[in-house]
Amino acid sequence: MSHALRAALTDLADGIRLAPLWTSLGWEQTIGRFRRTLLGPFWLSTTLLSMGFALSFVFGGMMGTPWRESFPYVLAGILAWGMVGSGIGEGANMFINGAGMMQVQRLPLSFHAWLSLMRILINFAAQLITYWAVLLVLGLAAIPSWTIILSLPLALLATLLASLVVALPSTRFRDIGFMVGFAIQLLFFMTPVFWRAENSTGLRHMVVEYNPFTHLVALIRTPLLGQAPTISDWTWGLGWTATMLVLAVILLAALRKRVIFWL
Amino acid sequence: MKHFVELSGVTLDYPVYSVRAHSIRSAVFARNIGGQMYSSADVTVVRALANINMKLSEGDRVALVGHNGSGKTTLLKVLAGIYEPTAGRVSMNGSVATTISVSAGLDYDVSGLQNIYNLGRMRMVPRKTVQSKLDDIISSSGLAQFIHLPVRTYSQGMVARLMFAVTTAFEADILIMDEWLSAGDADFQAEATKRMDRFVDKAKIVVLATHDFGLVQRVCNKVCALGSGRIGFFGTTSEWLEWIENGAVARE
Repeated sequence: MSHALRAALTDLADGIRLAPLWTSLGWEQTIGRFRRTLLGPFWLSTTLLSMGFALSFVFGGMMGTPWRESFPYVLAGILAWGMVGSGIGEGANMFINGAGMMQVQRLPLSFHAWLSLMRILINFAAQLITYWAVLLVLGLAAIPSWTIILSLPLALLATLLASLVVALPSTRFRDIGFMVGFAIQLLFFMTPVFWRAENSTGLRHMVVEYNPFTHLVALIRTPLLGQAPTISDWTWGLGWTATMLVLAVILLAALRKRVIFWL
Repeated sequence: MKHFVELSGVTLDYPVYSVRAHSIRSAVFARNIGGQMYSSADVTVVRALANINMKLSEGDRVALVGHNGSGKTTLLKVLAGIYEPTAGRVSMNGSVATTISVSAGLDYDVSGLQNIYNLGRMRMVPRKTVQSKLDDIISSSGLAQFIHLPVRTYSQGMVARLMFAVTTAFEADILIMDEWLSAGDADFQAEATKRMDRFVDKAKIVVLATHDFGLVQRVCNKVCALGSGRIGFFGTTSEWLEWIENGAVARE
């Protein structure tokens, strides 16, 4: 095994070993971000709720589904998107955000990916509490499927690796960071987050079926709505994660030493 | 086991990217033209360190001296593992504590006390150990009741005191510091010297970049003078003083 490849794998392993550091630092940064606010991370829940209400009202109406049916679907969809979609957009800036730390302390690059994931996870947890609270009040809550125990870690891993893959080139070429934002926005509409994939045909069906994000969203949303994800969701989820792992290792091996000079 | 730091043939090329080089447009269009303009004008490669050989062993307190831009901080960052050398090898045995910048890892919105915990955490020191050293850190920082105020209210000297107290409180075999000791007042300088002595008495290695000749003579027993990324002189402090008197001619 070449030296660069071994160094890339060591980097990934060292990142996991620093778990105590990124968990506490992730908390700290979340507290810092919402310091002097009343709702704290629950401010993000207000975005979730307003988008959930609006999109289920408009699109549920357009597609003729009753609001009480479309609301949990849309809400869980936006919640899932925050993790698997926008999570990547946030992660794209991980090195630029961590520049101060990187300039003064030796840390594996994957540490910054874990730190970014930790912050996303805290936000996700805050939104999940809101999700259940609102659905309970409305009498719409479903008992989640046990499969979430497996599918959530898979979705987390997918976001971790994908954001690492995106962050490395975005640090070198700042254009890519903006492109990622644009792509995530595009994907949000192209992925069945707030609309339903059923009875889509032709090209639209292809866009749904061959879009890994359809399946990543499903991996989180379906169990939340009380059902198990389909085999095809699992296959796509695993395949996507494995692809991202290979890409992340290749990029780390090729670029690891240089990232510090790009900041 | 003996602690040591060894640099053999360490060279570091530092690519400096212009604003243009960070844009993908320049990269794409330059390729169409031929790419030569791009590579020569937008990414400047600076050889920050050239073939550095150095061996430090226990008890060494090395001052890195040299003009601005001579490679002091770069060498510290290579020692700290922040930069990986382009060529050559860095090998060391022992735990490393780094304080490259005075404000590194400080959260200005929380109290000095909370920052002591945070800095300990960044150095992977267990919370219990931090608690046991807390009195020592607070008393040696001389911040007294100010430790409970947010760090944004501190002066530069107070920040330096806090950082120095924290850095020297947690035992590390190898201490790497950039010059910021001089930010404190005379009291602090005296206290710092005492504390540095204690720190080094435990047979550890210290590498300190500084411009303060007085500090070098008081604290360090060896000097490494850098110039344009090369070692111009390496020897004991007294030899160094002689070398300066003789006109400071770089010798191989």
